[in-house]
Order: sequence, then structure tokens, then C-alpha cells
Amino acid sequence: MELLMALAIGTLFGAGLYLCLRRRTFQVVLGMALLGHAANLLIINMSEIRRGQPPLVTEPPTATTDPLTQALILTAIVIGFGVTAFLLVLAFRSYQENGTDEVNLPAEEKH
Amino acid sequence: MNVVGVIVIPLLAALVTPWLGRLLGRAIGWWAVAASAAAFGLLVSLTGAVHAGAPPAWSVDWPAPDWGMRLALYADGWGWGFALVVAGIGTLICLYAQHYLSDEEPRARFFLYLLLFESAMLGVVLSANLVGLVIFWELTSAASFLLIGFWHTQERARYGAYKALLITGLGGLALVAGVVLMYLATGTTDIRELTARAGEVQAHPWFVAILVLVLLGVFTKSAQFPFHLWLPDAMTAPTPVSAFLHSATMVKAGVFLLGRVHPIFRGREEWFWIVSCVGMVTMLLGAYSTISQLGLITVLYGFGTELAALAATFHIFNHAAFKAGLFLVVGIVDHETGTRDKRLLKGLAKQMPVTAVLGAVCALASAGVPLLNGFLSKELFYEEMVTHVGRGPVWWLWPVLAVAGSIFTFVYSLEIVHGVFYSKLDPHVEWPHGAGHGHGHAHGKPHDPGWGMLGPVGLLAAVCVTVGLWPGGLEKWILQPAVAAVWGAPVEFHVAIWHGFTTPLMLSALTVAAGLVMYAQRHRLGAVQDRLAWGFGANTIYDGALAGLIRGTTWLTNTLQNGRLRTYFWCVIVTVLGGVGLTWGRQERLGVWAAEWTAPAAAEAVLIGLLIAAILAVVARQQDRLVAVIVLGSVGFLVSALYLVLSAPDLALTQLLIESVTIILFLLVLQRLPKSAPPTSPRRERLADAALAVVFGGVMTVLVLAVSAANAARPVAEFFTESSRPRAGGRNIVNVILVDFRGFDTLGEITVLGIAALGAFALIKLRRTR
Amino acid sequence: MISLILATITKLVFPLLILFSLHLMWRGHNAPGGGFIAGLMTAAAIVLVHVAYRGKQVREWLPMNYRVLIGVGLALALGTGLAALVYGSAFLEHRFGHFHVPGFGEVELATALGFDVGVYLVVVGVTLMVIGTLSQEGK
Repeated sequence: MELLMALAIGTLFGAGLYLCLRRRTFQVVLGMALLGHAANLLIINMSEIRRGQPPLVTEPPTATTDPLTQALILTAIVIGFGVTAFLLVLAFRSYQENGTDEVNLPAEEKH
Repeated sequence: MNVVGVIVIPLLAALVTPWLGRLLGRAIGWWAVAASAAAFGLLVSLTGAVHAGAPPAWSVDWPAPDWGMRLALYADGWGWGFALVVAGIGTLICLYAQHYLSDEEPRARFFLYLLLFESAMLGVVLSANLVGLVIFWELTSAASFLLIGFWHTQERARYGAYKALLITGLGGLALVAGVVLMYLATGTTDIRELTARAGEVQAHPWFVAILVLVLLGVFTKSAQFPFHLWLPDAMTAPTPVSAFLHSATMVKAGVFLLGRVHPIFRGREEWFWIVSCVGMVTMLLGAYSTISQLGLITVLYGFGTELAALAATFHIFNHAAFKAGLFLVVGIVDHETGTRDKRLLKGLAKQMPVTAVLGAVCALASAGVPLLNGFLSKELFYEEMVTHVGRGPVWWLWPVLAVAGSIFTFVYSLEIVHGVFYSKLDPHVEWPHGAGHGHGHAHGKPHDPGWGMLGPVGLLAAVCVTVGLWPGGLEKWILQPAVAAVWGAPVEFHVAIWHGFTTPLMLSALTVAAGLVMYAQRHRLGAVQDRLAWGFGANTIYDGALAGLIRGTTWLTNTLQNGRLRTYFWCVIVTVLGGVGLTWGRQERLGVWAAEWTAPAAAEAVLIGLLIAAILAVVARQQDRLVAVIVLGSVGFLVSALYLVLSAPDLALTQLLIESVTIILFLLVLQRLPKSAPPTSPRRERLADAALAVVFGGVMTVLVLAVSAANAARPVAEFFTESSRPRAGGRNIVNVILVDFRGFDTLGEITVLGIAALGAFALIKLRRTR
Repeated sequence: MISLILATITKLVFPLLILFSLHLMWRGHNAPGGGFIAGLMTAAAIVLVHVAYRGKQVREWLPMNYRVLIGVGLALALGTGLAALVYGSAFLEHRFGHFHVPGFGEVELATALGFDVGVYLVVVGVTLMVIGTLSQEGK
């Protein structure tokens, strides 16, 4: 299972990075979203993988997964959403102002 | 307590000056005079303590006493004597400047800088530890930058100030490094302690490195070869400033430090060879006599004997007197005539008799003419050079070169006495009006200035004569404690005017004779000397190096900060990969494989398989935007399902909902962007990016595996699990962490959300009307 | 009205969604839920209404200034923290206790609920503000 998770996370990072290096803003936003997913999954893999042991206090006490990583990820998901929203608006406005959504241009090709 | 006052009074006075200047207007100079005189007075009041062998000290355990950094002052013979010179000449300079500056000059600013500089220099000489000394050293660099570039509208002034700052600043950096090494080697920066442990310092393996670094600081500050470049360009400062900087303070800071570390470093071969050779070369270069005199002093300190220490210290005090006097006389001349051009200045003695006499006295003192103070220290210099002749043929070189250097100085001084003053006056000479910031009188006749400018010069000239005739006074009050401090132990000596027909006397006579001859032939020799000093294109090297540095950094900035997101990403990712690779390379085994991986259930394997497929689909269909958004959404939902598998219900819920809202957002924006977009990056770029992405993905995979395989203790997680119910009354541990234990983070998080929303709002609503 | 089916279902489901989100918030302290999730659910419900009906109508039914909402939410969250200072605890130190509410029996309440409500309001405000501004643009 850990192996599969690692593969998934690696794919997310690679794909996210590739998209972020593209020239159009839309691809960059897609890439950032994927990178966000990747980071979140990375964090949750810092703790052991346990199935069926949600972080809830029960009587009698049972083992739970690591609640701290989950709290971190929750914050990350929500902030990631904020960032994605802002990026989208930014991409849209940039397209409106510049008439083109190509913003990642090298110096020679800028017009 | 008085010791602190010496530094604090000019400092506070400086800070008050701008405001006070608005009140007092033209009279602000008197404030500066008063402040400087007060410092001088304080120093005089300490005479008794210094001579009783109990030097006044002051220290405070701040900021980091455990690391050898504390504010501490110590007025031993060397520091106190030097401080007297600084404060005394400073007072005279303030008085002089008050009358020298024309009314349009920003006086308050001038005296602000001057007082700042004076207090910084006092800090340098009175510091008890090397850290304080270095801090004040840098302050003098900064203050001198302001002073040299005072007439900042002139390109030359800016160039000169900048050059001085660069060169002395680099030296200062070296000095800092040297002090740090010294601290690491001995555990202290206190000068008294270091002096006591001099043997230990010299035996240390780092000795040469420390020595070189400290000497770099000294040589840059005192304009020794090859760092003498900055001195001529620094003469663009107003004359009182030049007088102060080059006679008593800035360049003297270097030789002061030389004297300070003399008891710690002397005796070693390296000290002798480096210091004395550099000093001698500098002395011979002496196209500017300040440099050559400093070279002389440097040579003497290099020799490291009692006599040499005495000679050097004595010469420092003498030099301060006659050099300041000379500068001020030059200032009077350009103030009265409006020019510094040597070709026009002839025969001024008729029009300015008093000035001429005083100028002659100072110039002859610098030339080493008997009955003046310069002669006495020159004699001691010759005596020291001659003492070592018996050690071998090479040692003959020293007195020979010494005489050669002194001849140059003699010629230069004679130029002033004879060339400027006591030569034939050209009756038809046209004095320029107001050139060089002087007050070329409208009627073209220069004359002796008032007491405000003559007074300081007269005082200095009087000192030259007094010390020349009666050295005992200086010897008792100032030299004895100073030389004792420089040597590290009290020294028996007696300075007398007449020692009999000794070799030094012969050498002095030789100097005078040869000097007169050379003066008569001066026109031919001037060119030669200029070539020696500057002909090696030192300035060209400096200018070229500076230009090259600026070109290089501009290129670097333009390449790395070119505004392309792709460049920045590449830089970051490559650095990360490099760091990770470096760390892994150092370990023997990565420990990526653990014995107990959990086996996936079939459903889970399918889930992750779908996830990976969806991710790849996003990349593959990135051009068809609608499809890309939908596939991205599916990635999000699949991740949410993954959270469920991993026992994170809160996360799954949140991710699910957020993904829904995100898709809606994407669709809203998609409406307003072009629907599909063909690829625009060239193939080369795409391949490079793909390669980087694959490598990065691979590294991250291995990273995750390594993290999973590592055994991690989880004390924090257990704390949260156990205290969730009793301390926060909640069973949902994640929620409890978010709103209770780590509530502050959540507060920050919602603030960020709010800011993002406001930002999006502002982007859309607030814009320039079309 | 864009689609009759959608509109009808929305009319039925909307109150349920709101109730459910409030329920999620209420029980967040002891079971999966909490301010974020509740806020997102409410926001999603309102977005559903936006999708089903025309924007102008929706704004008539639910006249909310989202900027104010964000501000109120932040103030509430901060206020809960500052209130702890007033009562002698550290900033943001929460307390909980058991209260007897007539009709409900024993209820366990925590001051963290106030903080959570603040979070809820902020999330609703943020989501709807972004979506609202974007949807109004270009019309």
C-alpha cells in the first residue's frame, strides 16, 4: 500500500510540476492544484497507514491514526482552495488586461 | 565615567546639531567647537589617572558578554594620547571650519558629520576590545564617506567618497574576519588580555591568517601600498575635512591599530617583513607626502624594537601637528585666492606674511629640519635604521631607502615654502573668482585671514616649535604612557635635541643637502615620481574591476530574475533536487524498503490506479480545458476517497466539498477564457520540462518511501489523543486540535482566506475605469 | 428559472442542506464535522440556488453582503480568543462545561463553538464572495 501511495504522490508531483512550467496561465493553475494534492498526501504519509481507525475518542479507548497530520492537511486543503480561487481570478483578469493568456514568455518573445 | 563622556558628548552634540542649526544658523560651528573642546577637556582631566598607572576604564555587559562582545572603554597611554590628538585637532578644525565655510554651505550638516566622525574616531582609540574597535572603525568609514562626498553635486566628490568607502570597507571586512579568528583562537577579544597572552597568540597555527587579515584592515585604512589609490581622490573634500581626516583621524586609524596590536604581534618574522616592506614601498611612492609619512611610521612599527616603537609613536604625534597645520595653510591659500592650482600660486608671502611664516614652519617640520619636532622623530627613525646595519649586507638597504624617502618629503615641503610663498610674485596674476569654493576676493588681492583661521594654524605651528625645542614636555606627559602601552611594558628613554655627531645627524644633513639639489632639478624629477606611483595603472585596474563587477552582477540578475515563472521554478526545483541528492549521497543506505508494508486491498489498488490514470489524463488533455477541469475534479474526488481509506473522515468531507466548489470556480472562469489552446512552448522546452518533472516525481516517490519506512516516535500525537477529552471536552481530535489546541493557526488560516477573497474581489471590482 | 426539475429539487433540498450543515457544525466537536465542513456545505447549498435560479432573484431572497460576513466571522473568532483574556486565561484558551438545557437534558458545550461559528461564517463568506464576484463579472 505504501508503495502505491508513493507512486501516486510521485505522479502528482511530476504532473503538477510539468503543468506549472507551461506557458499558459490555465495550465499553471491546474498544476498548482495538483501540487497541492501531492503535498497533502505527502503529509498524511508521514504517519502510519491505518485503516478503520479514525481520530475519534471512543470508550473504551482504542488506537487511532495520527490526528496531527490530519489537522495540518485540513488547514492546507482550505488554504489551497483560497489560493486556487485567487489564482483563477488572477488568470482571468490577466487575460482581460493583456488580451492573451500566455504569460510565461521568455524575454525575446514578449510583445 | 568620564571616559564615556569623551565619546558620548560629541555624539550627542552631533545628533542635536541639525535641529540646533535651525536655531543658531551661521553660528552652529561654535556649538561644534564647544562639544569638541568639552571632550578635550574631559580627556585632560584624566591625565592624573593615566599617569598614576590606573587608566580609567568603563564597561557594560552588553550585548553578549559570553561571546566576548561587550561595550568597554579603556584610556591607557596610547588610547588617551591619541584621543587628545583627535579631540584637540578636532576642536581646532571646527573653529577653522566655522570661518572657512562660505555662507551658502549647509553648515549644520557639515558639523553633524564632523562631530559624528570625531566621536567614532574617539571610539576607535578608546575601545578596550577589538569588537568595539571594529564597530567604531566601520562608523568612521561611514562618516568619512559622508564627509568626503560633502559636495556631492560634484562628480569627483562622489567618485572619491565611493572609492574610499569601497577600499576601506573591504579592509574593514578583512579586519572583522581577523578579529573573529582571533576570538576563535583565544576565546577573548579584550586587548589587555590579548597583550598578556601575546606568546600564545603568536604560537597559534592561525597566526599568519589573523595577521594578514588585520593588516589588510590597517593598510586599506592608512592608504599603504597597494591600497593608496583612494587617498588622492579623497582630497575632493572641503579642506578642513581633509585636514582632519588625513592628519589626525581616518588614515591615522590604521597606524593606531598597528600600535594597538604591536605588543601582541611584534617579534614574529612575518610581522616584520610584511609591515616594514609595505611601509617602505609606500614611503618611496610618496607622491603625496601623507602617504609617505605614514609609510615611515609603518616601517618603524614593523621593526618591533623599543626604539622603533618610540620613534613611530613620537612621529605620529608630530605628524599630526605639522600635517594638520599644512593642510590648514593650504586651506587658507585656496580660501583667499580661490584656487589650488600650483601654477598660479607664487610669491604669496608678500600678501600673506603671517600665513607664510606659519606655513613655512609646518612645512619645514615635515621636512625634518632641526629645531622643529619633525627633526627629532626623523633622527630616531634614522637611528633605528642604522642600528641593524651590522646584521648583514641586505640591511644596508633600509637606511638607504629611508634617506631616499626623506629626500622626497624634503623636496615636497620645500615646494610649499619656496614655491608657493617665498618665490617671485607675478604682479599680473588673475585670481579666479569663487573657484574651488574659496572666496576669491572681488578685488583680487589675497591677504592674511582673521584669527579664526590663523589661530588654529598658529597653535599647531607653535606646537611644532615647542616640541622641537623642548621635547621633554611631550615626552613626560604623553610619550611615556603611550610608548609603554605600545611596547607592552614601560620603556626607559629620553629624547634630546643633541646627541653629538652621530650617524643619524649625518644622514639628516645628507637629506637636506640632497634635497636642496633635487629641488633645484625638480621639474625633471616630478614626472618620474608620478610615474612610479601611478604609472602602473592602479587606478585603471580599480575602475576596470569595478565596472566588470557591475557588469557581471547585472548579467546574473537579468538571467536569474528574468520575470519568467519557468526560470524560477527550475531554480527552485533544481536546488531542492540538489539538496536532496547531496543528503542521500552522504548516507550509506537509504532505508527505503521496510519489512512490513501493508498489503493493499483490491479496492484500494483500483482506487489508486484510477487516481494515477486521472492525473495523467489531466496532463494529457491540458489543452482541452473543459475536459481538463472535469478530470481534475475527478482527481480531487479520488483523493477524497483515498482519505476515507486512510481513516480521515474530516479530511474526506472537506476535500469533497472543496472540490465541488473548486470545479464551479473553474467553470466560471473557463467561460471567460478561450476554450482550447494549442501548445505554445517549443518542443525543446517541453522535453526539458518533462524530463525535470519525471526526475522530480521519481525523487519524491523515493522520498515518500523513505519516510514511510522510517520509524517515527509520535509523542505529540499521543498527547493530543489523550488530552482531547479531558482538557478540551471533545471527541473529534482533529477538530479539537484545529479550534482548541492550535486555534491560533486556524485564526491565521481564516484570515488568509479572507485576504484571498478580498484580493479576488479587488482584482475584479477595483480597476481603472476603461 | 433555468430548469424546472432543478428548481423544484433545489426548493426541497435547500432547507435540508442548511439544516444538515448546521448539524455538522454543532456536532463537529465530537464527531466528524466542524466549522469548515459546515461552512462549505452552506456555501454549496447557496451556490446550488444560484445555479438553479437567476442571480438577481437569488440576491433578492438572500440579501447578504459577503464582505460583512467575513468580517463578522473573523471578529467572532478573534473575540472568542480575546474573551478568554478577560476571564483570566491565555489568549484563545477554551473552556467547556456541562449544562442542563430544559428539554434536551445534559448538554456539553465548549467555548470552542463560538470560534467554530466564526470559522463557519468566514468560509461561507469567502466562498460566496469569490463565486459571486466572478459570476457577476462579464454580465
